[in-house]
Amino acid sequence: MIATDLVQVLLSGIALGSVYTLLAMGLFLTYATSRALNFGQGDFLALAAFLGMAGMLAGMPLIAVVIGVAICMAALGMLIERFAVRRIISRSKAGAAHLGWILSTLGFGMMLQNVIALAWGKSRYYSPPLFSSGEKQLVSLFGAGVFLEELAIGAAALVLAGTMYVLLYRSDWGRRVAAVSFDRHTAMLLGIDVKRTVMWSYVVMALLTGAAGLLVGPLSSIQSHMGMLFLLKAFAAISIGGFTNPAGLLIGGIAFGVIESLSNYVDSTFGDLYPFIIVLLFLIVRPMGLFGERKTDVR
Amino acid sequence: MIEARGIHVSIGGSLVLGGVSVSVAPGSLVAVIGANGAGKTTLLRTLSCLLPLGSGEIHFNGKRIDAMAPHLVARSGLVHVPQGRQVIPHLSVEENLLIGAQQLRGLTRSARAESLEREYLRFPVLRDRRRVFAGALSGGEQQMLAISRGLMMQPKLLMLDEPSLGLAPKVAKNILAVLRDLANGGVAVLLVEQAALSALTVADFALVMQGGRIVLEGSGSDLLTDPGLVKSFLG
Repeated sequence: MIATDLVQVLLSGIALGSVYTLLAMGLFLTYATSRALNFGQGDFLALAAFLGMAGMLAGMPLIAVVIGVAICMAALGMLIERFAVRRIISRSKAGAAHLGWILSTLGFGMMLQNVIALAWGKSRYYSPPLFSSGEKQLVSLFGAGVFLEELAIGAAALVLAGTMYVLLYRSDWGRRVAAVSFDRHTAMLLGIDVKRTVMWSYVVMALLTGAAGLLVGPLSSIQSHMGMLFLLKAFAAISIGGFTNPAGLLIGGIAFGVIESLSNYVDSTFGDLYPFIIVLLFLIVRPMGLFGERKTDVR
Repeated sequence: MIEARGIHVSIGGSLVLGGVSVSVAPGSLVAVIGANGAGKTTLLRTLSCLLPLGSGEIHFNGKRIDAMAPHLVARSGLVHVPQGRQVIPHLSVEENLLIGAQQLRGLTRSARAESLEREYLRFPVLRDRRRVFAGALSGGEQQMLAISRGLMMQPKLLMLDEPSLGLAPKVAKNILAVLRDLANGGVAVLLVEQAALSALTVADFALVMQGGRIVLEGSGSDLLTDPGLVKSFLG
């Protein structure tokens, strides 16, 4: 591999990987507050990607597209928490297995997937670039020409992931999430509105996923049923980093993205396969992930 | 301050509290003692509205609270320090102290800083360890943190569930002395303890629970010499 290619492949990997990180952070957050995950999160991503594409193609300015997608996603986050999660987790007895949310969130995602298929069909689309004049616009990085779009997308996703980190560790909201994650009853005794905290965690999950969807559009083709694969890759990122702290998710996400990018460079036919094999092998050596502990860091 | 009348609570179809009444006035320390499974913890969880009431009434500060959400009850000044300390292990000592106070609307930043300073004076070890994760503290330090965290919420009534459990006798004694001081300062304190004798020595009034009912009540000093106390503990 020549050096110029290497820089480009690494950058592509980092850009994609940071998108996986945003998804993984969404999973992490809802698990922290509600001990449930949104299995429809991949479909949230697909919907955001399609809405973003539609907005850009309609000639809307980027900021309007971002705001529009954010509003839709926030509303969906509230809806899924209210109707597919809250009643199921509040009705389950402590300690009893309660996995109804797997089905309800998956079903919610299926509905979104079908809405996308109804509106746009099942074909593959290419989303217009968000930040550059064209997909192939090049800038120079370490002496190598790289795609501006990928550079900007990677940077945007990293800034978002960093913002999340600050929010979780430095804000009152982050401390509320930590308290709810530790124990709902203790949080209530501290005057924390647990229902509200959980609902907001779903809204933030949906916003992160929406951002991931917007950013992924120009990176790869989009399709109505693309969600599950992305969700799987977010789980792979979690498996590498360990489901314990947001920094691990960032490293896990980027690692998976870079491995995927390298693997696609080496073998474009089965490029998607090798990263999963590597993750499986990795899990045999380190089942808890890089930063895994027996006890979850509550944030 | 708090007045609960005829509380009945069932959990999973079995009656855990059968007609318990309790009241605590400002400035007094009331102890609830009894053997394991007597219903003491359930009583506190019911008073802080974590558990739904089967029948009965709970009035706090002149307002009926038994249908209120627990976080609003806590914000109104009924503060419950639960069993097992329950400090949040991955937050620092100072973050633990601030988290409850931060939920109080209308509490200014400077008032919060003042409360923090007051708690650091009460338990100087917390100041020394304010940047440490709460999970790394010893049992005694965690109990101090749990009490201080509760006090940061400006309680009118402070309820504590077995604060001396698992602590060295000297530390336990120190904590009971702090509770006595708080009561002398005007806070209503409701203390649940299995260590009956030490609780009775600091309490103004005490209730003995057995099988979800109050079987004996009287002033702390009277109960210390009551032959019925031993009987109710040993059956």
